[in-house]
Amino acid sequence: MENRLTIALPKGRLGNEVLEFMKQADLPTDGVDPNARTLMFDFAEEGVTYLICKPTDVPTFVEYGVADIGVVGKDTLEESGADVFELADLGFGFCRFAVAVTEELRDKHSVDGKFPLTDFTQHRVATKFTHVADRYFRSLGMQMEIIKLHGNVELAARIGLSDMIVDIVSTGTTLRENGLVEVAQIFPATARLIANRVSYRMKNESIVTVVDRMREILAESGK
Amino acid sequence: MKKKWNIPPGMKDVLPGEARKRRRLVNELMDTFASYGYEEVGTSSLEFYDVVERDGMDAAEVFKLIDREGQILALRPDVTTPIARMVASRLRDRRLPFRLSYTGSTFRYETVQVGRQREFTQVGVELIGSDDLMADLEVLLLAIESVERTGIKEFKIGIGEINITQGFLNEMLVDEELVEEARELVISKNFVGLEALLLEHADAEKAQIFLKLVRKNGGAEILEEIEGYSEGIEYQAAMAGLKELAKVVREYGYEDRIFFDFSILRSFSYYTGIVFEGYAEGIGHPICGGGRYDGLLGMFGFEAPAVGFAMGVERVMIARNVKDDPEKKDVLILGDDYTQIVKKARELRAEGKRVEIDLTSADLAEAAAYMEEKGIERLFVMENDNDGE
Repeated sequence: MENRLTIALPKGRLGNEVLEFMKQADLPTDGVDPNARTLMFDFAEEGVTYLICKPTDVPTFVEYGVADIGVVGKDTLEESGADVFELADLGFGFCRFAVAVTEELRDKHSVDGKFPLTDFTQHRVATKFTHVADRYFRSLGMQMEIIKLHGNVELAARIGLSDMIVDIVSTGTTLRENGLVEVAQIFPATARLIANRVSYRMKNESIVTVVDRMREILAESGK
Repeated sequence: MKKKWNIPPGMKDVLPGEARKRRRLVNELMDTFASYGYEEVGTSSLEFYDVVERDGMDAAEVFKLIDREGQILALRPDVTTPIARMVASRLRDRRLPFRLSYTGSTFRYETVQVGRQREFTQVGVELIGSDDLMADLEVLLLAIESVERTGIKEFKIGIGEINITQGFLNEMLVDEELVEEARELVISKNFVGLEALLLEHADAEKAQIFLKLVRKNGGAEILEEIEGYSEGIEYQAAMAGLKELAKVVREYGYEDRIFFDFSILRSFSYYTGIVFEGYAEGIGHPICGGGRYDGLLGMFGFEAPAVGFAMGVERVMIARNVKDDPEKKDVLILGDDYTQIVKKARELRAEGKRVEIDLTSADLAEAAAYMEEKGIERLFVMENDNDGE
């Protein structure tokens, strides 16, 4: 059986953290730069190839098997709905999905300091993460009109395009600066190691070796 | 604009060449089954929904329609459940065991992907009336041999056991809804979600053992490692069965074809013992799957143990990636005298030739071009009374 591994890495900030982690896990990383123009790094001797992709494309590369494993934020993974195996929580890259509204709206409707979210069924919500938002509101029995935006989502609530937004929040600074407040948490997200369904079976030994090493590191660092 | 005649998503036309390739593959597999004593049966594509429902599949995945009496009908999402229904109602008085084989279309409302369409052809077998390990072995070995017969080189069969994995879950979580949730997480290999659920709802020590169990994957040697994970009677009995099975598979020479993976549960809820799935390079979904289902026939009023497997013909065709093999014809007959032509054609067909009668060519040059395009080897020109080649 084939034992070479192709690994999809996200470019950007998460990419640097992932790379650092890969290094700790004894994978070859010399010269790999997730933010360079080179999109493939090949370590023939060690049998490892890295593909550098946009974070939102990592689940796609893995789902279709051009990469055997990959690292991606749970936020991106949830939104993609990709049919992949989620093998380990790597603990870093923390952020959370949250529902936010303007301060005015919160103050006007809150009862005993609690925002009555479900009263806002059949209202508008703007988000980049339409699938996550859709699933969340359904789970509350709410029907929402979801408006897909590609960035600067805070603006939508502020100028009245929508009544609320769903977005990822890490520190909350962006929300505050735009006069928005978090009224509900959807779920926390961290970086995940994912695997292609077939690679997981056909290259099980190579993949499990990597996963076990990563789990050891996580256990050592107490995450 | 001209109307485009599309077909519904997930459905497919099968053109010449591909259709022939598919037919040959199906015949090859059915012949293999026959050599083990399996007899072909057929069930209808439409069943009453309350029959289909017994397989535990998500209702949203079933194509349903309503007949004029208001009864809900369903296009069969698998053939095992209809066969269980048929055996329980039509064959129950005959001598057990039954070895039955089938081929036919099945329908599921899936998210369409390569290798996951909404209509797909299954070929499979059901061995009904024995709970002996020999029955499990026969079906498993037949599955491996069948995949080999298709010409797929790189494949492996992963084996799991419901009494081990599900048994562990039932004991650890008790609450049915939680068990179901955990089951789904195991099936989708969401180990992160599984860990979170178990840490919240199960005994921490047991949770860790279970996580180790479902992450294990390997040859017969892992059976030794996990033997002590539970003292339960069912667990130990299942373990003894698997060890015996592994031993025979090894001695039979198929050791490299199998591995054990206790995260394999299959999505149908009717399985009660050994379960297995076949994986091949180049396709993201199992090419075959099956297992023991001792409770299904009982749901139709006929208690009988059973084991079986089915193979997805379209998936096998993707995995083996054989190029189209267009139909060869031997002779083209050209001429003016209809009586002479049909008589000559009969004569040649009796000799076993594949004969086509020319309908369009005006002269020999046109006939030659036609033969070239259609892959016909010889021309037979019927000239008034004196024929010649």
